[in-house]
Amino acid sequence: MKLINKITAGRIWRSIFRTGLPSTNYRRSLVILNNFFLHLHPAKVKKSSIKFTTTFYLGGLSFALFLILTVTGIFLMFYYHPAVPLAYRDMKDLEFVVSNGKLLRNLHRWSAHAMVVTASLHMLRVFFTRAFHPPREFNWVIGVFLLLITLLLSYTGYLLPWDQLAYWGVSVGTNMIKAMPVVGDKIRFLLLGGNITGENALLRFYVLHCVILPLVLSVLVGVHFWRIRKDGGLQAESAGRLSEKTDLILGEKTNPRKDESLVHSNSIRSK
Amino acid sequence: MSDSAQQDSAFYSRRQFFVVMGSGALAVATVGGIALTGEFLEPNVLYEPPNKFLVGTPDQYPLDSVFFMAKPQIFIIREAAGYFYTLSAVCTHLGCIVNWKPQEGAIACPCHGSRFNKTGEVIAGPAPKPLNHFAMSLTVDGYLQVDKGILVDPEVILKV
Amino acid sequence: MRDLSKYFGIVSVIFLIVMAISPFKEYYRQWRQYQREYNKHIEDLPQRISPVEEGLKQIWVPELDVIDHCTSCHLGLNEPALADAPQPFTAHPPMYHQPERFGCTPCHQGQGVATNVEDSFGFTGDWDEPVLSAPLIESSCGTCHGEERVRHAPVLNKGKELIEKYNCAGCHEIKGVEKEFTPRLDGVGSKVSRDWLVRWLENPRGVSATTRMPNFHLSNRDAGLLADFLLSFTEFPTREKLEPLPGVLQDEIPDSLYERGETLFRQARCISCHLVQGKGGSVAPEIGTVASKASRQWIYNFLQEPRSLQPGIPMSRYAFSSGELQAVTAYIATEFIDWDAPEEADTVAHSPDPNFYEKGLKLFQEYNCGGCHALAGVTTGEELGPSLVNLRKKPMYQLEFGLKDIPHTRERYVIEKIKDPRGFLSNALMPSYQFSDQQRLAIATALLSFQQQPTPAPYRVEQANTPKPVLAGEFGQLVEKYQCLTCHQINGRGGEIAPDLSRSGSQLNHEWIKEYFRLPYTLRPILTERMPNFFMPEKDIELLSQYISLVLRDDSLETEPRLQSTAADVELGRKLYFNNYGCQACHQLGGKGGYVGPPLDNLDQRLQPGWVYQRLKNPHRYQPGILEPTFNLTDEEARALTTFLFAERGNQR
Repeated sequence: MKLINKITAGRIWRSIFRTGLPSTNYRRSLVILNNFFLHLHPAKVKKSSIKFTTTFYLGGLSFALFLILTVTGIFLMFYYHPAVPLAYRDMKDLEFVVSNGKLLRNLHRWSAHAMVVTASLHMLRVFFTRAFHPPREFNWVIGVFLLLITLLLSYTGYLLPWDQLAYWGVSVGTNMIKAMPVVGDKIRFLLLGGNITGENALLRFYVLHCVILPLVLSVLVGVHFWRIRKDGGLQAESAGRLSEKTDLILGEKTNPRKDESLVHSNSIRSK
Repeated sequence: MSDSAQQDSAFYSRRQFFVVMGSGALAVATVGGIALTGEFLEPNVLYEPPNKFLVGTPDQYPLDSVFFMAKPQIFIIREAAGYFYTLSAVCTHLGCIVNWKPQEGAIACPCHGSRFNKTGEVIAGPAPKPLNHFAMSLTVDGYLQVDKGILVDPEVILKV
Repeated sequence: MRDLSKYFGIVSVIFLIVMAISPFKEYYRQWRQYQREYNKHIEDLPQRISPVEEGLKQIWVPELDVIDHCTSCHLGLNEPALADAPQPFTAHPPMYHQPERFGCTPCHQGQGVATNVEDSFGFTGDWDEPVLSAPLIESSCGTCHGEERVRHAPVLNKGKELIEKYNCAGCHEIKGVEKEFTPRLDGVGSKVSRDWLVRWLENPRGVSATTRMPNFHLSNRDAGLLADFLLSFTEFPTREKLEPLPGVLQDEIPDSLYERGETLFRQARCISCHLVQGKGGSVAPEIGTVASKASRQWIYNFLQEPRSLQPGIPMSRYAFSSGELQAVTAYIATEFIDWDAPEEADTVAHSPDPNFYEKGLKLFQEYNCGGCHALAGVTTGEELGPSLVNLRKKPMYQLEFGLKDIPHTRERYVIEKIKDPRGFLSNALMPSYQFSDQQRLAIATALLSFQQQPTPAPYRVEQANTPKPVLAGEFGQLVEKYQCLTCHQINGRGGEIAPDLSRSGSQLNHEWIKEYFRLPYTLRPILTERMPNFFMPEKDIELLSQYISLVLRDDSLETEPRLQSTAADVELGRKLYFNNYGCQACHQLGGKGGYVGPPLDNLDQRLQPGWVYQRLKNPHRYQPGILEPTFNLTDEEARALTTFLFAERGNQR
């Protein structure tokens, strides 16, 4: 304990963590606000909104899966060459040769499937809890784009193993794009980098899958989270039920009157 | 840890038990995961030319000859007396590929002018160490074999 | 919140367990277990074998795009002491290629990159090339070796021979296979009877058990239509009509003519090539029942000049006088009758279908008869069957198994297809061949060696493409007339039935050659194929023997040893002949000895000493694979033996 105290009182520690221990409400909010990773998060949330049955943690799960996918994906990139003669060979290598390669590849694969499921369910939850109502209508739009990018990530990743399934999956998919009026042909041509699913298509899908789409997704996720806070937290429950439970998870000892505004948070318009 | 837990540390409450169990499992899994990742990152097979390879039969090399092999970056040297040794063609200074100059009887590096004699010793230039000698052997069916994985002393030679 | 802590705990533990599976699986990988087992196995052996260092072994051959991990488990490949060890540690039988340079899968197929038994053998859904079974392994030799005959690959060579012999390329696209001679059908209407032709078309093997022609399972009606169609072709490719029979052959044949013909038939040694009642060679078709097949007039004309009726047929033209020709025809026409043939239908004048020509032509084209038999004015030669150039690599989903209830593997597909081609599809057209199991395996081996993508250059072995000189001038015409190249080779062209003549000028005495043409006798009595007597005129004999003695020479054989003919040399030679090397076990000398090799009496008259000397030094120099053992004689020994063999005639005669 003494050692911990010494470290936390030291200059290095203080230079990193400006705020002391979150012993008061003020300090608690400072912890959130002064932390780069946490500052998207509201300093205070309603107890009911972190209850499991309120959200089923579907958004959080999707985000967690995205983190897993990012990490496993980066590791897979160490062994993967986006080139026609090598791509499938690398798959076989991951399966048969690389230690734990199968685990990482399967983690990536199943997480990807799971992310599509959780993101879709998340949308349903939002829909059924009327969380797309004002003031959250723009966040709903962002969410729709997030779901779309999730699906696109899933689809671009599909080509990378370069097996029969991948090849024909992408051949069929890009032919669907071709059916779009006026611009369909052009989009397909640009997407494949040519007229056939070949070397260029593999490279383009690789770049989309590993760089462009994850970057866009990360930015939109940031906006999505930030908007939740700016839109007054989660649309948790109906106003009537909420008024019965005014206690806050981090504010048990605080004076309810001081947090009056939060009690009626569901009626707050964005400022 | 809340105050109550400190007072009552002999046994955990049900809730604390699960928290400790979960955190413990997570901690082990994290350490293990890092270990697994480390293992993952170390390749099990290499897509490189093998260290051990055959370089033909002894009578392919004329007596008193220095033969440069570009791909494995080695010299196969047959002395007049009829013995063989293999010299690395990688300069010990900064890794350029050295050349055999037959008219001078020396091995010269094109980058910074290091010079070695036929046994790999430094004659001139910035090279800090003599050229490496690789292990050489004769297979059962009469082929010369070089193993770049094994360094040998300059005195070690293969008599055929 | 209380509930969640429980979930947190449980989920975390499950997560840990899931993560922990991977290192366990890694530790118990199949190849690791095999490597541990191997190290344990070799400890118990009396021989000292160095243990394997644990780790995945890989052979990487970028030129062939080969990545093989087979040697991770097959650890005793190069250890002769492990010849009887259990798999996967067994030593490899004699290897013609270093695995480090070639990998394993180019020969054995399978999924080399895999690291467990099931996946590496490749009998899983996602791998098209599972490990080849042992009887078909030689098919892999053919993927790199483009030579006509591949060393150490007898099954593959046999298969290629069969593909050529049975003219598979007539219907299927096959690369690098020549077609063997198949007769033209022009003039068939002037040759055979309708009854015979219908019987033949219905079941060729029923008429001649040794024929190459397969059974198309034609119905009687179709066979009749096709026969009528074919019989309408009465003109020969080079001339319209046959020469009329001489009067003596038109009616009952006199006994004296028959007997003279029988003698000539023997002297000409027809059965060297033709099979007659179970006896004779297999080079040419069976003629035991030829008189029931071909008209007397056709036989007469054919013997006179075979290539005027069948251009390109590899039959010698015998220099019969007209009397001899009549006699041989008489003998053949009366002797070789098919007594088992059904009675000719009571010549109720057959009235063909009014549209027989169109219907027959349709059948002719449907069954691609033209793939083998040329017929003037009928467009043919389309390859109707599926291409076989890429059978080895053809994707599995492109192989049509149809009605066949067999395991869906490439090997079974090919073998079954050769065995019962019509069992795959009800409307299949491929005829059935009656191959033995071994022939089927050989053909399958050759077929499975066909791949479109050639092996990269440094690994490919092509047929040495030395230009083969065409024999021109009068000599060339005589070689064509007597069809010498059906049996003999000259400068790399020709058959392999009889000795190579390329250097026979340095080998044989000029006078002996002339005598041999006048009356060929058999040097090796155990052979079926014997040199026929062509009844050559002196003019031809003179030209052939002169050419052979002057042109077909090899200067390296001229280095004649100095035969001193001293008694000491002869005695040394005798000792070597009888005591040291036991030559009498195979060769006849002075009426004693074996019959495996040719007799050595009167050697001085037949052979030249330079040849004998060189031949004794290295029997396999010109005839690789012959039985004669290599004794590695010293110069002195070879000289003594040659001296002895050339001196011996005086003593023994």
